[in-house]
Amino acid sequence: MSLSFPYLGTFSYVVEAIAKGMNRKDIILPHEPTYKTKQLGSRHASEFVCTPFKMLLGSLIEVLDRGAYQIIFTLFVDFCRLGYYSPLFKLILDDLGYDFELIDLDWQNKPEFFRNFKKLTGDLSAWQAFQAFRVGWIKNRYIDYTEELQFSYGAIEVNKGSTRRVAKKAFRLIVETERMSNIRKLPDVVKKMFENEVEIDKKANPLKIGVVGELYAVVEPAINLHIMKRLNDLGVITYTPITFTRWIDLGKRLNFFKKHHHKEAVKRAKPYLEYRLGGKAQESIGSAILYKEEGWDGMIHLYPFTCMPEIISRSILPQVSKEYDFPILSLVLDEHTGEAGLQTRLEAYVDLLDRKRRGDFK
Amino acid sequence: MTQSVERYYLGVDVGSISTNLAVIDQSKELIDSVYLRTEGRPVNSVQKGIKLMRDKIGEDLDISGAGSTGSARKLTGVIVGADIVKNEITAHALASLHYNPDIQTVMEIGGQDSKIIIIRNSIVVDFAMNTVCAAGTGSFLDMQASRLDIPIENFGRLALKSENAVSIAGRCTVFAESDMIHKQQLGHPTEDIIKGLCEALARNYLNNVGKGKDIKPPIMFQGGVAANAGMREAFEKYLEKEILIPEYYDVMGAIGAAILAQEDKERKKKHTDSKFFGWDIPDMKFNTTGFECDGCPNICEIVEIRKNEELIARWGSRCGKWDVAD
Repeated sequence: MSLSFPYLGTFSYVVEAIAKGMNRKDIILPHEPTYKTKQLGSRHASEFVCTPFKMLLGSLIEVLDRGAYQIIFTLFVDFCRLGYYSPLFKLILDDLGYDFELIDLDWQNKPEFFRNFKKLTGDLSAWQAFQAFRVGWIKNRYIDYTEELQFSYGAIEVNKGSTRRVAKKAFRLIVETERMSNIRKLPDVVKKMFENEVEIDKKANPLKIGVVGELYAVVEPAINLHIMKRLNDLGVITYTPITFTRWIDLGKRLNFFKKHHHKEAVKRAKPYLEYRLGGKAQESIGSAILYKEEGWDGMIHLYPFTCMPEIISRSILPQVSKEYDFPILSLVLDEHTGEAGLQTRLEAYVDLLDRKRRGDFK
Repeated sequence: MTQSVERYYLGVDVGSISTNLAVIDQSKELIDSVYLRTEGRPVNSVQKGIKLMRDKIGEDLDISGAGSTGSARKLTGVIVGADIVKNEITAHALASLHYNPDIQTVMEIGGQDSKIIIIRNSIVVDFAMNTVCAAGTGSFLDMQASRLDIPIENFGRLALKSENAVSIAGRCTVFAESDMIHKQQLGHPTEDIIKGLCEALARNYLNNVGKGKDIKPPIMFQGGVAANAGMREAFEKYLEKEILIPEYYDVMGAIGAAILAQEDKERKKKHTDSKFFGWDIPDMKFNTTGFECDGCPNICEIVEIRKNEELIARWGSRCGKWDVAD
């Protein structure tokens, strides 16, 4: 009855942390998607389905081949094809002859969500199961924080690769830490780790670029070809507001005083796009306006090939860019994106921002 | 060594189809250029290009800085010892601005990709490249020219002869080709088909790459395809604006790379010698070998580049464990 889940960027650490808290010893951790994962997914998925679907399917086949039985997936009823992911996975994997149980954590139906979640935890009481989930969302905050530090320090590190090593260590530490009193100390510990172990160039004046777009394209380095790292290597600080916090972090969600970037962004996008379309269409548009106001230099918009909602926002973004004088680079990602083309665009974009900034200062 | 006051800079642009070299002096004037075909072997073509350049300007000319650009810029940078390796968008924009500081739009169509660069007040403010499709680029024109058995050099002139362009679907090269074959089997004259093709490519470029861009004059059209008078006419027809073609339209990338090398050298307060290996590059032996790393299921293809048996660069791994290169 091994438990597993498809790989999804650093969110995999969160799921791992939750699974640990659920008292399950039989977890099969998914590997980072590789070239083989992409091929596996493309072979068994329909050709024009979203790229994330193919990648997730590939990842699922890999964990099933390694002996997983229970698969966690979240069922979203969204306005695009995302809502069909889970039933389609089930059909395709059934056809391929796998014996498994797909457990949909249906986020829109909270009682059902916790009933299913409880099922996974075996002998834990309902309260203990809830606690395991709570630890997960708190750890998720710290994992987001670590990423934020990683992509800031990475731009100005002196020794190439040092930030990445520290971040990896920090992620491990966050997953392994037990007891709430220790967990609460994690942000300070992680911050100290970066401060002490990464030597930075204090004179650098890095550009700042926000990365937004479709969830999977932003959080999974295997599909965006490590775009955050590439930007860091070009000496650019990056940040993404697209994380899982907004869904699983009930603490933040129920806090009325907390401002949420995505809610604010959706509001600001209304003059351009009034309705929800699925994906992060409205948020991508609103983020551009928010980032401009916060003084960022630019924004990169990522979307997978054939992603309906983001194609719509992609055609609206040039207008926003013009009205707010804010350079936006839209990049379409596919399972076989040539790295050279992506690198050329990123370099040219960073050059553009750099020369624009120098021009502004004149 | 002669203490010359003049400084010279070399730019090398290696694209999918052509390899261009340019040498400029310190007032950014072109001294000489070389244009040759890459023929799928960038290392050879760089060596050949440098040999041609050496024959033209003599090996006594001292290079103070070298820059590389184009899709093979990283490889080229290692082979020639470039001081700066830059993307082709910046290179093209700089070269265009040198020849016409008022320029507002640069259209560049090369072998595998086409780009549009929007410039305002001498600063690049926006750019786009073709995304998931290579339709409307030089390679396709090349292929069609050889299928019709017309030298590519005459392609544009033939298009100008036509009075009546046939309509051809430009969205996708596969459809365009079947459209062309269909029209040719119906008996349309070749000139009309070629003109139709030029118009289809121009339409495709404007609808794809130029979509949503504010194309303001002066407009400069460069890259290998700018040699094609039919394409220029087609662009003028759709944009209803005059299209400027710079004198050295085919080596603009290389000129841009040379300008970048110059800027890079002049920005540094202290004078440093160029990393350029020198004019005897054609006599050096460059060896590239590849192997597959089996460290993880990614199966990265690693490439090694050796100069006279000495390992100068290695790349291709996703995790970076094999990388040797600065």
